[in-house]
Amino acid sequence: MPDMERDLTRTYVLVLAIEAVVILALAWLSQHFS
Amino acid sequence: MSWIDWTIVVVYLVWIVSSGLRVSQRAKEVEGYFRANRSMPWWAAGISVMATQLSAITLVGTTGQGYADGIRFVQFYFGLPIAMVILSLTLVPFFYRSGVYTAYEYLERRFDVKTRTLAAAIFLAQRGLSCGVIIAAPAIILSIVLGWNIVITILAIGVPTIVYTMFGGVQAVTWTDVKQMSVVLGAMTAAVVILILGLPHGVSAGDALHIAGAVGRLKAIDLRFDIREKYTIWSGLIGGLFLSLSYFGCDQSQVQRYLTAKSVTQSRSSLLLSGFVKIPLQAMILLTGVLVFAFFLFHPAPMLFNRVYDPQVQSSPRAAEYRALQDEYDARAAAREHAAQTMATAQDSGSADQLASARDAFIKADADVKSVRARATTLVKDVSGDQTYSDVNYVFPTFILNYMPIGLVGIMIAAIISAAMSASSGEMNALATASVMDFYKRHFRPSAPDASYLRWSKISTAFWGLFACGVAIYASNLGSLIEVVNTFGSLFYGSILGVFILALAFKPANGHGAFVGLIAGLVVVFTVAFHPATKTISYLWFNVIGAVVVTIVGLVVSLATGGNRRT
Repeated sequence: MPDMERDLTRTYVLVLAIEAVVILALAWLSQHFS
Repeated sequence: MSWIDWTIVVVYLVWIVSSGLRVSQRAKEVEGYFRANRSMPWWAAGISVMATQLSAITLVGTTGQGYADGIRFVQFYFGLPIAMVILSLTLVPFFYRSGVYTAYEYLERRFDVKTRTLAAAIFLAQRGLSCGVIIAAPAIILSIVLGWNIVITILAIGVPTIVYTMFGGVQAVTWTDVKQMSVVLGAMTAAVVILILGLPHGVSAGDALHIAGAVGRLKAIDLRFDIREKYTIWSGLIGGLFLSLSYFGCDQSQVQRYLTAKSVTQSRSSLLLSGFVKIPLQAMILLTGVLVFAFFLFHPAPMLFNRVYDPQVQSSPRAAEYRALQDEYDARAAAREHAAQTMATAQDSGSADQLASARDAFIKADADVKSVRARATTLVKDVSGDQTYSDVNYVFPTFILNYMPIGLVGIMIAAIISAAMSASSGEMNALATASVMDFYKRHFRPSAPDASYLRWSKISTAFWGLFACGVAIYASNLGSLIEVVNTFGSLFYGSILGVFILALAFKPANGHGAFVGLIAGLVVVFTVAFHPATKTISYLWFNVIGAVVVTIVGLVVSLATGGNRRT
């Protein structure tokens, strides 16, 4: 059975949201341990 | 290295080669050899994408960078998740549905054969050389710190990789990548545990981070917009975006990984895995380097980690000066250790005044150590004549060999070899694909039997593997060449990306425009990179410059030559 093409919009949003969170966490790390 | 560690390394090599060869039964025709019959689960293809990018020099170089410069290098990867989303929406479905074997094959369908051939030739030249460097860089480090023969070290990494890549094709590459990535991650986790357990009594991991943070090791974000600065949030987000778009979207060594997935959705998911994991993974590797810095505050560390020129310096007229620097270093390092211990105590005491003065004392003590190391480095450069001398890549191996327990040393060495093998096997496989599909089949034997293409694919893999070993042996005698080849990619990536932007985003673009645009982009990027007035521009921006020049010139030439007449 062919693999149906799934809508990955939510995954894209999640990738970008996690990137934003990681960058903020790194900014916090810089600030907290400076 | 003890016999137990030797046994672990040998067992690892046998395990990897045999597991690679086991899947060779599934590569009986070209489709299986180069595209795994499109049978790979998304997670395996995704791990393979990451393993191909994570070379041994990433492992030891990034930890060294964390030790020497802190975690700011993480900004380099900020454009990557955005690129993964863009590629999933654009190039991945194009490549997958068009059924191409190589990214460059698509350029012929959209433009013409000369654009495809030029792009594929650039890939072969650039990646053929870089595959050699991927093998040479860890081999040089291992041969220096372990006293191994350099040629044997290169062959010990290169030959097993050639064997399983040649017989097993892309399936062997992907499944061994999964195993090798597990070895790397397991070994890095073990290193972090040993580093934390190795901190002295009264110094917690939090204290260690505060101490390292006092001298800027945890400064991750640089908001300045300065195109001469290598790593800022802007060079990472913009330059890194263009670099990632080009590397993951237009470089056959990456495209081939996700074209093996079972469907377009799985192809996209395999790329998005890097989007999720890459920044945290790199941050973890850099933080390991920061912990190595904290560890060496409390444990003896050599003045310079790269001791390759020690005998030359010791027997030179400046030997007394070097000895004096060593004595000064010993005293300064002891003072810094005391200052770090005082700072950890002050950190726990909760007194702001005590902490502020302890912090200032530690910053000064660290600057003193840094100054001695800088003078020693300059002396080594003067005596040896090697102006590229650096000890950053030797920090982590020094920690491994001197402070990790027997057994884990073998696993760590296996992890370094793993990283080199996983990165180079992907390159060899992709180089063979482009050689056979974009040159042999396209220009010489368009309608040969499948068995003939399969035979030439294996021959081609062996050729590129041996070529890479040859380059590695040659490069190991030319330290500066490695630096050149490491930044080599950014001279080409932006321009190649420009051709794909023209193909996908601009309907009027034609083959003449793409071809002339590509050449114009390369000329401009090389000029910017080597002209005295512009060579201070950070290499990440070359990717932006190349893509923009190719797009503009390509469009102008396309319109001047009648635009796109293809239907």
